Amino acid sequence: MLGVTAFPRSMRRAAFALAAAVALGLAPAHAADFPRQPIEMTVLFGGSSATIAQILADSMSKELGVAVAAVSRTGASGAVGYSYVKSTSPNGYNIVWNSNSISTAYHNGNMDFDYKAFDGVARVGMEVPALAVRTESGWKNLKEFAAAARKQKMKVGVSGRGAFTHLASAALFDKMGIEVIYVPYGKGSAPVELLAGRIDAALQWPSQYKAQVEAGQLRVIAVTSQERLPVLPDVPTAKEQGYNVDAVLWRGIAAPKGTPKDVIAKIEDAIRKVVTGKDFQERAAKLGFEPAFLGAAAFDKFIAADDAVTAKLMTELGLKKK
Amino acid sequence: MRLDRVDRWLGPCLLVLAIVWLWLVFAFIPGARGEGEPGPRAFPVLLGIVLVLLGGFVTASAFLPSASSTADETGRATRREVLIAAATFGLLMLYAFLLEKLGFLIATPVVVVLAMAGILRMRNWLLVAALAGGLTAACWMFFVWLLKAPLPRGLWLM
Amino acid sequence: MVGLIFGSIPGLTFSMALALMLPFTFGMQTTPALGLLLGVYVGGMTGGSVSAILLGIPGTPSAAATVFDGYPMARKGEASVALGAAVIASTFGGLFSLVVMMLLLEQVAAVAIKFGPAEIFALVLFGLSTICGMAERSMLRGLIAGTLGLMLMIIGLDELDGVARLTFGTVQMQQGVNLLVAMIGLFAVPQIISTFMHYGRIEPFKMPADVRARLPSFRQLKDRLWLMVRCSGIGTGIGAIPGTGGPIAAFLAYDHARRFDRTPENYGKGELSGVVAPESANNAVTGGTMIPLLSLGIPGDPATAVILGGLLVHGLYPGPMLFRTHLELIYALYVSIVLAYVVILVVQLWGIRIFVKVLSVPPHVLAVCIIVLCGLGSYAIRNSIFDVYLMAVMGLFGYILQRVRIPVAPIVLGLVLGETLEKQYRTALIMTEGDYAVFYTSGVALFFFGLTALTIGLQLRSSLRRRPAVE
Repeated sequence: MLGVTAFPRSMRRAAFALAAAVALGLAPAHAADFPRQPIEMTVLFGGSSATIAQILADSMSKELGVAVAAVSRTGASGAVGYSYVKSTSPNGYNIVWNSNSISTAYHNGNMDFDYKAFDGVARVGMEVPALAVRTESGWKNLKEFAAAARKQKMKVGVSGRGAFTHLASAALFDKMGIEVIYVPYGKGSAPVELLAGRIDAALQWPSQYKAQVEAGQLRVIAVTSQERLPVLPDVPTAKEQGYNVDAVLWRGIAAPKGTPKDVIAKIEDAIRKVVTGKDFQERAAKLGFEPAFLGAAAFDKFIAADDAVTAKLMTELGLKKK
Repeated sequence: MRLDRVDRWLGPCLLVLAIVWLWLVFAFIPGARGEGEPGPRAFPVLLGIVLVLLGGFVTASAFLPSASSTADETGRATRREVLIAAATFGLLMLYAFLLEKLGFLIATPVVVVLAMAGILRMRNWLLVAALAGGLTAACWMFFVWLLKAPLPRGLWLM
Repeated sequence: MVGLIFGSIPGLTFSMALALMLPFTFGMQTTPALGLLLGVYVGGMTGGSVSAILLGIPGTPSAAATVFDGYPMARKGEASVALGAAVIASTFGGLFSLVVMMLLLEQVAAVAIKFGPAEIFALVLFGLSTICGMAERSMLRGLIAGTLGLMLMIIGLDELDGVARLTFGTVQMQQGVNLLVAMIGLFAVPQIISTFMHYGRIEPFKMPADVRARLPSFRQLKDRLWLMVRCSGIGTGIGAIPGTGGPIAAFLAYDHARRFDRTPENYGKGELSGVVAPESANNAVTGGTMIPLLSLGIPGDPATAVILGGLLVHGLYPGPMLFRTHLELIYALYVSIVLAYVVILVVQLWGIRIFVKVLSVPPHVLAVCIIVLCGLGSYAIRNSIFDVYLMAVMGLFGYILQRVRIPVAPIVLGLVLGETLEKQYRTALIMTEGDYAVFYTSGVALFFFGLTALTIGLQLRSSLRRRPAVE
């Protein structure tokens, strides 16, 4: 009595009619009339990367003429959001704000599929981690830091074991030939801990230190990219200091595998216009984000190459599960 | 049912739960990586042991004649209550399933009708239809138009 | 205003409201943009109490403690008093913390930064010790519930090591048990079942017909002024420590109120102080979290992280320099918080008339509406269908617990505090390479350990003393 049996036939028919009507309204995508309904951009993390995603979505909706909603699906180092987008139909109405996390989540063993489950749409930009120490410590560059670290084991704040900041700092300290204690912090509290003197250094994002650097409390001694950052023009790269590392976090947009090529091209085009626009570049700079557009085909190759590097690094660190 | 009678079931259940928990924890969570830190397994193990102790305590006090005697009645679960609880649970699970597959606009009226006609056995069809339609429309307007919050659109329809 | 609406809807937390509002502020001038974000923040924190009191479902995690006494008050027909007291206490707490922030920003920040992992662990352990006092009848059952809550917290991805714990290989389980999802299930679903039970059989439980908008009397508030001050202090302090936040502050304040009340047995049955305490504390958190945000540029919780994003987009880097370079902006910020509270107070007091109308809806119809709200609410928190299933399972769990007389409140406390507790403990030991001295060489940590021991000791003594009286 407690189920569908209590459902009169007329009601059932009405429900089916409604279902049919809605289904017709959401007919499969054809590139010619794409986009016809709002696009959902799944965002995997909070914080400043989510802010960038919102700026991007906001500008994309102006280009495409439909709403682009940045929908937060956080959790499990990104695996939750990736799984959701993978499960949606490949019609361009569901895209994901992806990053290196696609590789780290897979090699960590937290996700049973990798970047191949998606088609790249476009790379949007990069974030470069920076190594900071307290000004009063007196260390001005990596050499001095390394010398001090040989006398006494350093405590370095990262965002969590297997997180990108952990990988990047491991790559750096490996090149420097020193051993450190990695202290994992969630939710970006490493700068406070550094200020309070409970850790000796932190590898985090430049925008997190900006205020303390201006106030003279913290000093950034290296960035892990190949070239210097516009936001930190005075900070030398690790490569300049003789330790050749290249660890940058890329961010971009991907769609489920099998999304029609012409639909991807349309979204790619919109992203290109946004990312190369002055407005986006100005806002991104304030958040410490480096716009670096890359088209769909090149982005796919880039991800594949980066995945191999990440896999190798994680194997070396003993973090790779599969 | 008197509370100490309940405890005769509750205590062993907690013990079983605790032992299953400990088994799962040891089987699936890796231990510490050395270096003197507790690692991801330490807390779950501790909790399992605490629950074993608590469950043991409940069991012991329920079966020992000396303790207890708090004359606390919890009222026996009737057949009807069990049915209704099961139906409500089933309905919520169904709602989750329909939300995912068919989206908010179809799932909500279906669930409202099922709740009112199925569980409550209301036969005032006008009221049922009005609430099903009205609630769906009100929530949709509120969430999607006013707040721009995304609601599930249904995986089967996209 | 927007925050108020969001806060009052279960599942739409103010962190989410902030995130949704953020794009609107991109194109605005700096000052109105900031005003909007702050308004949403404090409004959401205040609005969370509405559904906590009326429906027994907390609108935001910070309003979790408000349910314990607010909902019983509504069932006694005192919903309007509870709502009135909640909004007044919220405003008081918010403004109190604003004053503290204006006067003692540097000092509070200097103290707050001293709270490292070991100290926060001690503080949270103290919070957890309040579980003993939370069970109405038996401490044993309270402890069982607390342990179950902590166990639920374990499930999911361990943030420190990136290890999936008890997820059985599924990605969905890695999200873990969200506090709000669990609360919606644990509190709302058993209510729905009992309403369905009573429908058409015995005369249903009737919401008292007299739901006139009656505000708390001046006397009721005056008697609790000192309590509000203390709880606001708790809230401001907790808010200032990065890595803690609203729910923890609200629970500590609730327990503080109960412990120092002459009639602690009234708590959980509709005691006005039980609404006033957590509400003044959770709104005081808003001012508290602004302290590390403005003075150090460090967000204390997800909500302030979004505000930080908003500041950065406008080219403002919070930190010591902000006070030198943009002093006028800081003042604008103070003014907008005050304005937000004035608006909230007016809107909310006026809105009470409408809110209490909800209670005149027949309970079974209301229950059907709550089913839909539960589904949508749990979905909206993380945009995740898994959470709707989880809510249903938690609902069944809550119902069974109710049958075997295990209190639900300690489960919630375990979920609120467990994650911080474990993480800080482990971080503290990772940092020192397993040297436990970190816990007893810190004065602050020792102080809270002492308080914890005292709490447990007192509770044991009183429960031992009570036992013979029963027999």
